[in-house]
Amino acid sequence: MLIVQQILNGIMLGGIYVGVAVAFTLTIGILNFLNFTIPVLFMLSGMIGWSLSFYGLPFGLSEPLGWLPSLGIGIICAILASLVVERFTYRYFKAKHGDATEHAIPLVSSLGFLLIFEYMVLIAHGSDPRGFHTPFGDLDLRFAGLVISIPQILSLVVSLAIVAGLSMLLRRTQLGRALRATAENPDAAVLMGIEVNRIVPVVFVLTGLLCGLAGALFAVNYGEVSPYMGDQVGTKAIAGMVIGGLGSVWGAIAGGLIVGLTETLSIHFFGATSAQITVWGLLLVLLLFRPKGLFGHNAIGKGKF
Amino acid sequence: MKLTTLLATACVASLTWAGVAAAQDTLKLGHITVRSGPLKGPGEPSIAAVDIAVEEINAAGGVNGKMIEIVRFDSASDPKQASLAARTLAQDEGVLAILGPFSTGEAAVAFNVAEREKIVMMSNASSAPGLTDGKEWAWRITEDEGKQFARLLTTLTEMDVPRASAEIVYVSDERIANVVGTALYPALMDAFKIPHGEPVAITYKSFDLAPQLAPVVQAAPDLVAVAGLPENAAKTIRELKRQGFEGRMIGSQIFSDPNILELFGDLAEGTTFMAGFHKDASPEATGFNEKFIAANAERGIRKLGAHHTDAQSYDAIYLFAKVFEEQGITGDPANLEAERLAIREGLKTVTFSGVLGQNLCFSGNDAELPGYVITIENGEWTLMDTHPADSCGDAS
Repeated sequence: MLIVQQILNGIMLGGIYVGVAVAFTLTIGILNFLNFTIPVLFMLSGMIGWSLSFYGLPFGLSEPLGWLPSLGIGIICAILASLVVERFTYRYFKAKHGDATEHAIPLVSSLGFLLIFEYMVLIAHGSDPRGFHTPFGDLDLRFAGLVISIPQILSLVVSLAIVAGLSMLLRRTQLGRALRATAENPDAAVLMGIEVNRIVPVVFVLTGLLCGLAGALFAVNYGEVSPYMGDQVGTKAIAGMVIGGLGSVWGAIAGGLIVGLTETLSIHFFGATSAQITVWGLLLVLLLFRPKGLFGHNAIGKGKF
Repeated sequence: MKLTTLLATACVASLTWAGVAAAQDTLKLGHITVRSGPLKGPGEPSIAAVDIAVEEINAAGGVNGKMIEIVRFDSASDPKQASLAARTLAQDEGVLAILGPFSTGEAAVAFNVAEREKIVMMSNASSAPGLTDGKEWAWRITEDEGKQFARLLTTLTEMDVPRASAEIVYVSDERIANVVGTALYPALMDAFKIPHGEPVAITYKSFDLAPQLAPVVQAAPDLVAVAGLPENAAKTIRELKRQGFEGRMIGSQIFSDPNILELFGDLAEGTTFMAGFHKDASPEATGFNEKFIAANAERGIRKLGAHHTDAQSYDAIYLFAKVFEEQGITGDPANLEAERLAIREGLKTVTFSGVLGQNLCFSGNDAELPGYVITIENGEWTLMDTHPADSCGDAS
């Protein structure tokens, strides 16, 4: 029975990685850009949500807000921060230096934004983890000796629903076709009349939305946020994205769940300190035999979704 | 040009003279703090405790007619940085002695600098056993975690608290928690004949403890002994209770911070642990506790009470002041080496009283301190038992 509980724990944990893994795969799939600010967008929604629910609006403009509006504003802040990153890491360099900036400069500047945002939060609130209180008490399903967290199930369902919606958007709408055309060939997309400069911010809005929601769900699930909460989730989400296949939305879901299961079973059989070795070992072995991941395409940035 | 050079020389000369004059007018004490890094939470508030003691001593006229001056260096909770702090304070700042470093991990590294520089370094929080063994300049105003946990098990035995079985959970990447969880807890539980499982590791940054704690809960122990800082202990109790654990969480001093009342919330009820300080132990302790809460509030730090490391920091300043007075320390830079040696010799025979207790002393280079068994009842720290400090030289 314990192993069944551990498998359930692994799926629940994987559900946390899924949202962030999808955000990673979206930007790398459409823009061929590994956006390092994704973990910090995840953190921003949680920390801003906590700050608003604990202190209220800045400058004493309000009493502490309820948990739901706090997290809602946190998600909006994550989206806005993502747009700032788009403006200054992607659009500015692209406009100034053209394709010479295709890989390295946006990547390095997004790393800069990661550190800037993280240290801004550290300066404002310190490094301690903070308890995030919701009105939910014991919201666990218990049957046959098993314990399943209802918020975690909801979190997984919400992640899956968002990804299903995203998948539908990509396949069925004009915006989706424009996004796919941009992913296929940005130059050809421009020649076909697609305004790439208006499409790219949409990718960053979706990235901020996914990360913000994942961060908010994390806060509700674990009742705790911290300036470093994005670090562990971010690295595992990258592993999930690569295992699932770069640029594959459904691959990111499978990858996130596989990472969660691998981590949990590794802890069960070998202890907590083994988890990193097992997850990253699995990734390396998989890459040896299947470099494009489980559901990935042969070329990064070309013809996904 | 010549005028500029002359003015610059005059400025440098006046600054240098001012520095020398300042060094002679004050008794400089180094303080290695943890204002940042993972130990910021438990460590930063102790700065206020030090400041309260210095203000009180200086307001009463100082020591040997001179004011105490604190020179600080932030270790950022990093042992390498603590080592650098010790060298900087000893060599560049010319302090008489150093309060700190804070933690076991930092002390294990920085104590070597104390030996090389021949300067007393007094850690205010490191509590792993044997850390000062074989060292002459490394001192601690802390009580050994092993001794404190043995006191806790003694009380649980005397009060016949259910203890038919136990599990152990520890933070593997925090040095003191690792030592306590893998060595002290198992050995002491064996000594008290409490059957226990293999210690279960969690990591400092773990956010999901479900897989680690599922086997612990399924074993349905009476006790779960946790070795970890308050944040990790909070995560542990939250997950234990979520999975349906109905026993008692216990611990040595590591998570015994008054702020756990907020951190643990309603889940704190029944948690039992050791503390090296109790605010109601004496009027002095009560007074210090109130000042400490207020001083931290002024600095934007919310504290519900003083942790024992805060009380130890406060008493350490008074202890240094007493030794300075007894040894006739002047702070004269020309006599620095001899005065550092005199401070060390003074510590060997000193007895001191403070907010930690009365007539305390050092056994070897570690202070002998009392222990208080605390249990959380009705959302309050409740004193369950008191263990007086051992007499010096008492190996028990």
